[in-house]
Amino acid sequence: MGFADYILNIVFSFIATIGFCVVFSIPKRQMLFCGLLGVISWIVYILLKDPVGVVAATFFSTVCIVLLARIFAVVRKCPVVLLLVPGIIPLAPGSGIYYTAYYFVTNDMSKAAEFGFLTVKIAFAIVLGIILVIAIPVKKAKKKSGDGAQKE
Amino acid sequence: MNNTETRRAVDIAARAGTLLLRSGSDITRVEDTIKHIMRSFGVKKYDIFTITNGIFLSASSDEAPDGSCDYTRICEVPKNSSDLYKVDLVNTLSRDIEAGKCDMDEAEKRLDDMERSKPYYKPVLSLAAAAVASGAFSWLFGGSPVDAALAAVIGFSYYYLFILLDKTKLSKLLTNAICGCILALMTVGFVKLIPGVNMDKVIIGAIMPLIPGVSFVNSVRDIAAGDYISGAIRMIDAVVVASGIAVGVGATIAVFSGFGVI
Repeated sequence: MGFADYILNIVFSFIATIGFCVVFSIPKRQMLFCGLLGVISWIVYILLKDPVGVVAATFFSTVCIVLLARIFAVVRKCPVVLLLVPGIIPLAPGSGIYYTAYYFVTNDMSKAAEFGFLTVKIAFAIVLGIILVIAIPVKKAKKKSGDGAQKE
Repeated sequence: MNNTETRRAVDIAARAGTLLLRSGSDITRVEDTIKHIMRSFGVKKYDIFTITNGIFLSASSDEAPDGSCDYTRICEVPKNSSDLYKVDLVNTLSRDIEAGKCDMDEAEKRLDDMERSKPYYKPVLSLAAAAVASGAFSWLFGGSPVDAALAAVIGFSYYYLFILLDKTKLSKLLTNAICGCILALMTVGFVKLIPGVNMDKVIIGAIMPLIPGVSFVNSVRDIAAGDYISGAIRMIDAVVVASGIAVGVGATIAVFSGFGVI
């Protein structure tokens, strides 16, 4: 992939993520950060896809996104779900669902099973990535300060 | 803290929790918010139990005899949507209450506003957003510019149908199956009309707005937090939606490939 391709990938993943922010009605003031997370998740994914495979790439990309989402959530004082959902969306196995259904109805059972398991593996990679990072405890901020990091 | 004040505090906390749960928040946040609001208003003894479609909460005022509970609320939350801006609004409200910047009257007023408020973005805008997202994803997954443009057109039209169906009492499985069916039908039409269109890339891009992202992420967070029942409910929700899409798209393609059209 050339330099121009990367630029295009960045632009399109940004646009796609912003589109999703509107679909999920995420407030305007968080949009830029959501778009940024979408871009990072997609770029990490395509950089790692060839060397380590789709599933591992999804896992590492998820870990990056959840870490960043938690940090941004504290900095921006907003619920972490607002940042997490748009960041994860580019990794969602939409193509897996489609190919599984397609090969299933066209009676190519071995391919249907292959894509079905790949979809489940990708879903599990995302699950593991989220659980790993969410489980890291944060130091609870002092209650009086109104900082409220426990409610990130 | 007398009886009336306890009642109001419980009411405010319950309404804030219901709004959160309805708009797509995870269980931990709902319970934390309720706890913070009750404590900030001075309710000392309370119990909360939350699952994905209901909140049960009881509290006692200082006037109550020992160990008795004098106020209970059960809130039903039949449908979870993804109005994430409301999660943000309730979060701000709870922060303000905690910081002492917001008394009961103001909290009630703000909750009234939130419950009545219209969608944050106009329907046309979310349709356009669904179209743009579909097109961009189609390109990202390896589609040509033509595929991306078609995915955008299809995303715009079937998402309109989705918004209409979502307001009715139709089951989620059926809503998503119908949308999947319609988007596959339109794609097959375009594939027949325009040569060189990749059916798979168009469909993959176009189904992205239906992907149950909020349910899935919340399900994982609930399970990570140990709320297994709520996590399971949301995971089933996500699986039902994904199966609905697969059934709709699959059935349409099965019919057309059965007749040898594609």
